[in-house]
Amino acid sequence: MMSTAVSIESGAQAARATVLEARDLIVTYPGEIHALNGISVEIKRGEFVALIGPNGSGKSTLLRCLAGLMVPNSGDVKIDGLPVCGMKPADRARRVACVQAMNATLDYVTALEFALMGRYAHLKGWRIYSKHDYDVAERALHLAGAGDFKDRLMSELASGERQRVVLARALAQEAPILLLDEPTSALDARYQIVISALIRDFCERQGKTVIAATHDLNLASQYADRLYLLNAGALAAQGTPAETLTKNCLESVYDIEVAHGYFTETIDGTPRPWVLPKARREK
Amino acid sequence: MNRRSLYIGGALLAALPMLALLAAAWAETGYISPWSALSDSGIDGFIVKLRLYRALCAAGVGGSLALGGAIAQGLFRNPLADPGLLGVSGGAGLGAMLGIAMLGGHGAAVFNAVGAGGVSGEFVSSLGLMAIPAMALLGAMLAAFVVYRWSVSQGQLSIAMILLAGLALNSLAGAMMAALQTLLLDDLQITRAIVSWGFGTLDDRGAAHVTIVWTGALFSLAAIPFIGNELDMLASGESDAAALGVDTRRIKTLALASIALSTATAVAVCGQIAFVGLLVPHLVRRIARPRHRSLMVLSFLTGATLLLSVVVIQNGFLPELAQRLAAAGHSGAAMAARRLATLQPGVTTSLFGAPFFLFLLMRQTRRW
Repeated sequence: MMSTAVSIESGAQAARATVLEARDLIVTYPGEIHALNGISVEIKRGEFVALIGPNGSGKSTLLRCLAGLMVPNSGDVKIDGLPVCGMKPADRARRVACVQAMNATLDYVTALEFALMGRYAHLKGWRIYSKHDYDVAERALHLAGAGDFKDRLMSELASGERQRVVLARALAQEAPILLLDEPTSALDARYQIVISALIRDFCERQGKTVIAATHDLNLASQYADRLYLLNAGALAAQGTPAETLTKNCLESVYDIEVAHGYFTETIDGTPRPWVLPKARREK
Repeated sequence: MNRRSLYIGGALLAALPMLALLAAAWAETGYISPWSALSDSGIDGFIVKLRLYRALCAAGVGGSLALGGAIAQGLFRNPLADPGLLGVSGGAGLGAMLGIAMLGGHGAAVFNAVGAGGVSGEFVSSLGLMAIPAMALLGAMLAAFVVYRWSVSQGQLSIAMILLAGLALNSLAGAMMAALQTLLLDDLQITRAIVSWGFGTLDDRGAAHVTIVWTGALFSLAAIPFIGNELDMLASGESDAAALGVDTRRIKTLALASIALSTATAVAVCGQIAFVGLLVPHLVRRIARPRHRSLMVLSFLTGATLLLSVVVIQNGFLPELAQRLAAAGHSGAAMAARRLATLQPGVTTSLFGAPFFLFLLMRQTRRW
């Protein structure tokens, strides 16, 4: 029964257009360390894809390459069939919004002013933010659950609140593709669900495409259509949550023992795996 | 721009022409009505014109340095940055010193030293007094260009490299200036001129000086709409700004050019006026909560007002005070006021600016 659900889902995806495509990406950092070792991904319109993998497996590097913020040593990235490295920055930012981890946010601007920066790529002429830009930014803050503190300074916000404002800024970009690096890392249990549900809703109702890197395997399992499991700059597994989050695969990639099972109360009724790393003492 | 910045900016903008008029009317050689002097082709008209040039130079220099400081602090993401970090002031200093040496009869020697022998003495003297600002400008722009070239690699402009290259260039220029000064030590006139240029002066400025400094100022002011929002965004990291669609290379280049041009022209016209570039943006951040667009505009206006006020106080208020004190029999105090009036504006700004800055810092840490 599970396998039929999977095949129906992949059948629906096959009909969609590919919006983001990367081929044979290789990124080498100084010292001959391969951050990415020939990764290829293909992402279709309206998909919610999660990137998972251990620290240093190349998730952030892959996201940065996909966003066109980093030029790989070899391989290419195409957005809507166009090479991302040839795009002008503003043109690129209208197609892809990218929230990077470890944002050194500004202290002297309010949450609204910060979210407004997402409108930059849409500015023309004298680069003055219009009423429409303010409206979009405010709506984005509201969606990300940050509407209540739009007039507070960024320096006064808690890290989870700040993370929502940063997400709101990306939403204000109104780009069809959203790349998120650990969008829920600082959020409490409620907002992890709120934001994940929001992202899911974007994909389903507005046809946006989201790729999120995360360490939260259960959240990824519950909300994502598809997962890429990275290990040492290469793909260790990919596919639906059930295909990717297998006990064997996780135990070998993360070098831990896990308890593993299936939820049935999921957003689309298909059983999705849950994972719990087993406790162990220092050897 | 919030309401408060708007009020402050408006007030400063209104104060500037009044201060300039005051500086033209009221100076060491007595009060002259600028209105009647405008139509006067005699000595009064000449004096008022000279004072007006001085006032315009002061406003342009103060504004340019403050604006350069505001941009530099944004670009380097460091509130302690000042426009001198680019190596521009070192280059300007060296250029000015070469200019002074040339004018002082060492023209051929200077050209030989830089490998352009065979330049005739007549050519050098034909440059006249403008040789000093021209050489300073040349030196500053050359320094900025070298720093820029040094900092670009693989299509990226590295902020850290700009700082390091600027630092290296400043110390190189410093060493060359020291060497040149040592070589020319026996020429007392030149030594005097060099030392006094180093202090910064606004006296005997002409229309050419005004043109030079306001060209730099206007260029940098014109850049504000194109780098203001972007500097805000760069403050949260370069790749973050790039993700939002900022053309970081273009913004950094434009910011760098603005700093270089505004600082170079200011330093070329009146030598080193210390502290304005560092102090004024801080002052502005304290009175408003400005983002870069308004920070830059307000810094320019504040810097212009500050240096113009220094001119009015030194050339108008203090001589007047000295006269009244002398008339009232306080000859010691009168002498002190007269001495204070002869200090260069660069010295005055540091003399009063540095303690004021310390006071601000103290208040910030709530020790007072």
